[in-house]
Amino acid sequence: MVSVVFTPRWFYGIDGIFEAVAVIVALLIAFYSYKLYSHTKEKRHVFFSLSFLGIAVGFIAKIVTNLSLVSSVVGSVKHVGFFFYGHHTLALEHILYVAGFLGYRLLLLFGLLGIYFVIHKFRAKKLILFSAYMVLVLTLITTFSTWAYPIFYLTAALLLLFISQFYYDSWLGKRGQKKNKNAKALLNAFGVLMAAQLSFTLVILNLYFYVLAEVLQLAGFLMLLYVYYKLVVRKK
Amino acid sequence: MVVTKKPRQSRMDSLETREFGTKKPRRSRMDIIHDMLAAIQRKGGMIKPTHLMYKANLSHQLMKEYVNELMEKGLMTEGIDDKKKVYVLTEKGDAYLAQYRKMVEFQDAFGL
Repeated sequence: MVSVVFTPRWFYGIDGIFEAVAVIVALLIAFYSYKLYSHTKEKRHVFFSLSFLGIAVGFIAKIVTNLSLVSSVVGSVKHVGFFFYGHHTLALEHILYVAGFLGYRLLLLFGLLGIYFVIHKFRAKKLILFSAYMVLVLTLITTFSTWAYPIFYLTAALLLLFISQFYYDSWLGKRGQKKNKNAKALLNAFGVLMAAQLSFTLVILNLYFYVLAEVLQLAGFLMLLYVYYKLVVRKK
Repeated sequence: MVVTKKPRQSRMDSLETREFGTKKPRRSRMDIIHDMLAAIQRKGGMIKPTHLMYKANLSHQLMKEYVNELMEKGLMTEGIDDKKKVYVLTEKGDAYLAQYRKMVEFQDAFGL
């Protein structure tokens, strides 16, 4: 059961700080999109806001799960002589891991799917519902599989690739899109986030890929924060 | 007399028209408010009612409704200049315009 913690020992807790940054950035974008919605009353703005809110809540679930796991791993080392106590802790750890990681996976994938549909201006409700259903089924059926981890991160990377492609087109003004100078920064941010998800899938080979993935993820969210600062905070 | 039937527009055609913008979309409420306030700002902070109507591309009735709403919200006020009625942009209206521009930029950047 201890193997569920993929972090190198010296990195325990640091990943939580990195992910707290992701929560703040996602919440900032969610709140600003909601503010936009309160002015425009356009549904796509509220869906965009909900997508980022989902990502933020997903990261909160991951932070709580990781912190609880780390504390119970450290705790189990201290109480190694108490067999029953140790057994109970590990069982609880397992339930917490399954519930927390499931919540994180579902919310992150729904969030990314939401962003993808909003920016591509999809109107086909049945297709949207079907895609959401497929993500739900895929996440649930792989919950108890050893494939849960790579499948989840590969799916997230794929969605991020599609999102990045949109900003690439927007940056170059391709496929009937309006050319946008800020799209390059967003392309970089989502591209780095995609690289982070790919690095997460390689954790099985070496634990240091987890550190690399977390650093890339932090860089991606900091890039998003820079775009937010440039557009919303900075006075012109 | 030969009557030529106009081909019916399919649902797909109308979707394409909407998607790729060959048809200019209707202005939202937010856009109209922006156009009115921006027109006043461009005229140095005050504008005559008829000028506002033309610059913001509104009918007289619609302009009256929007003017009442904007005055209630404190975004503009009524004043007198050279014995003629003018609409004056308030500080709050100026701040709203700055906020609106940021919102539009955010919306365009994220592709919303």
